[in-house]
Amino acid sequence: MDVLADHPASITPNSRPTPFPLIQIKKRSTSIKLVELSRGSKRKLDAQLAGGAAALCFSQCGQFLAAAAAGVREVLVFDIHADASSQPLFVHAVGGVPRELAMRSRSASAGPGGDDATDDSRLIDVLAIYQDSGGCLARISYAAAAGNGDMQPRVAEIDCAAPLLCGSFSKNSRLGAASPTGAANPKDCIRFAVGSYTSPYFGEVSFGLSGDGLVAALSLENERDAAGFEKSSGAAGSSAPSAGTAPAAILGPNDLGGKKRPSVDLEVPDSAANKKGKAAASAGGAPAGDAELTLEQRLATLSSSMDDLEQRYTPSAQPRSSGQVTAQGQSQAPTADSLVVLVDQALQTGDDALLEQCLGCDDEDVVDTTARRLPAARVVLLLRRLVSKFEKRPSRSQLLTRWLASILRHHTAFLFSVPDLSFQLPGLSQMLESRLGTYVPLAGLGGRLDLLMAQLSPGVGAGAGAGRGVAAAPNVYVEED
Amino acid sequence: MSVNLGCLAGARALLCGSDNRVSLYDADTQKRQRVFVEKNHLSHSYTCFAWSAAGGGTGKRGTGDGGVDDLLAVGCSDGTIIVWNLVTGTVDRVLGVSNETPVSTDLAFSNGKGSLFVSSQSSVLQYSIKDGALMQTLKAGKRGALKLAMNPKANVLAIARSVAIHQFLRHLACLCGCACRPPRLHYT
Repeated sequence: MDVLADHPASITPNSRPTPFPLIQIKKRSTSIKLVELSRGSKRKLDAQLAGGAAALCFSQCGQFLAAAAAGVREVLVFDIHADASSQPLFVHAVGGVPRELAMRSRSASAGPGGDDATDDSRLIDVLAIYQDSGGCLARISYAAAAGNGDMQPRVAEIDCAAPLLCGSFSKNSRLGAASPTGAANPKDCIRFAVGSYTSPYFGEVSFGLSGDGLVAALSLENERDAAGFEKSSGAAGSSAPSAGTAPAAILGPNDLGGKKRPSVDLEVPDSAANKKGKAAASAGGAPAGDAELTLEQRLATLSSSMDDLEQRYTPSAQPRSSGQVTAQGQSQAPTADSLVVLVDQALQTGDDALLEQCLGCDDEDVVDTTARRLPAARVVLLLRRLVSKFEKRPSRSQLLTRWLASILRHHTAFLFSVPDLSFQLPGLSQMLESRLGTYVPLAGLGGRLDLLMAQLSPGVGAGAGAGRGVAAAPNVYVEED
Repeated sequence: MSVNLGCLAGARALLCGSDNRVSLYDADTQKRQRVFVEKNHLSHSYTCFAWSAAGGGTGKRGTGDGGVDDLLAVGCSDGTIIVWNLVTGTVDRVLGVSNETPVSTDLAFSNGKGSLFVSSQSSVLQYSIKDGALMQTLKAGKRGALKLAMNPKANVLAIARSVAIHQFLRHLACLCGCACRPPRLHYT
């Protein structure tokens, strides 16, 4: 809402009001226009949805229209018949900001699914799905003869810990005579989808009671549990799936990074011989030292430790990053051949100090291995950070270009698949173009300098004007017959 | 960033995640039937979609305006609208011109599924599904339209458009209960 002050005004209590405009308030709102496509006639509904419309839907009979505003917790219901008012028939405050609406109406005297528009008394069911999880179901009794809807609708809040993706009224219910919620009207059902968009769960729940009644509340979690849906192992009420059961999520165009990696137990398990030694020590009450072991026992301990070492460092087909858990459940000792874990952590958390520590590594093999093992989701982000550091301090070009070259070399295929990469990394493309432009002249200059240095090399200390200096000692080759 | 889109129609559901992959599920068996991925699906994001099976219309074949069943229209961030044929699993038509047509804010199929209404920040356009031709343009005010809804029983289209409302407050007492007076003019 913009407040445009025409001129300053002072406010004093108990003063006599003067009739003249003081403040002009400009407010953005949304109106609803109905267009009859066959004749082209138009009609405007007085909606005034502040912030814009978030959802708009007709009932299945076509008589009613439901609208919800973005950022406002209310649902408006209009009667769009020609003789009806342009004002909303009903404005209902809901518990969240609706992002999706579904509506149906039926005759109150007819059975469920009846769609007889000639009856005066109608039941309007409105399903609102909130932007965050959950939703609500409202049932309004509308009597056309009375010209007014029921001002106290029956409302059932929909409780769902997992995100409620979408929902609709169900025509042909799969539920039997007795629904899980104990409702006596199984044909008043809604179908819903909860969970994630990559692995959703679909269910159906009944909300109607006998005599056009409505249940008090709906819990979609009960439906999931009853169907044996995989439950998260987190705390009660937690909607985040556990790390072990989380489905693989495909990153979108502008998504960077995923969920945190699960913590890996890096403890080196005790070998069998050490366990025996410790058991003997605990049983004997005295620390087991080598002096108390026989030669045979010492040899057995040494051979078992050697076997453990061989198993741990056996080269496999695929290169493993440091700290990975092997198939037997034993964790490998972390190696220092790459910094991929630290770089990934620094990029995930935005820790610039950690990233600087990683970039300070000047070992070419480590840099190359890190770049090769870097996840594809981190490549573009690391490139951006490197380019920004390069632009801030060009004097670090020698170190940063080593990382840039390794990343570009190992992830060329992925970078080609990134759309509009040149627009996402303008600094990098400009930097490469400017340096490529000066490469040829610099290479020529370098060649000329090398030529001059080669001419001066026999007598560097004598100078250029000294003529031929002392000749270098000839190499002696001894040929053997 | 793509908005997550989801729609239920009977025993079938269409869900589209942030990776621009549209999945068709069978709600009864909880199984995914098909996945629709367009070429260069990461080059743009989806803003809105409309499913012909989700509307309240008849959706029968051979209707008066040549409508076809089971169509999915998806609005893209570059202004184009992609129409999928869910029966064949192919892109039936691409409406609009990339980076020239205004980005669509909402889509709605006509009752016979023969045409598609597209709302944008400038107007509401009606395209023919059969040949992709622009049939008519409906004015939606200076700020365009935000949402569309097609009446399933009548040939009536509801357009939610954004307008600016000017309100002149003649009495500040109406708002805060206090009266106000004009500033004093100083003469020099």
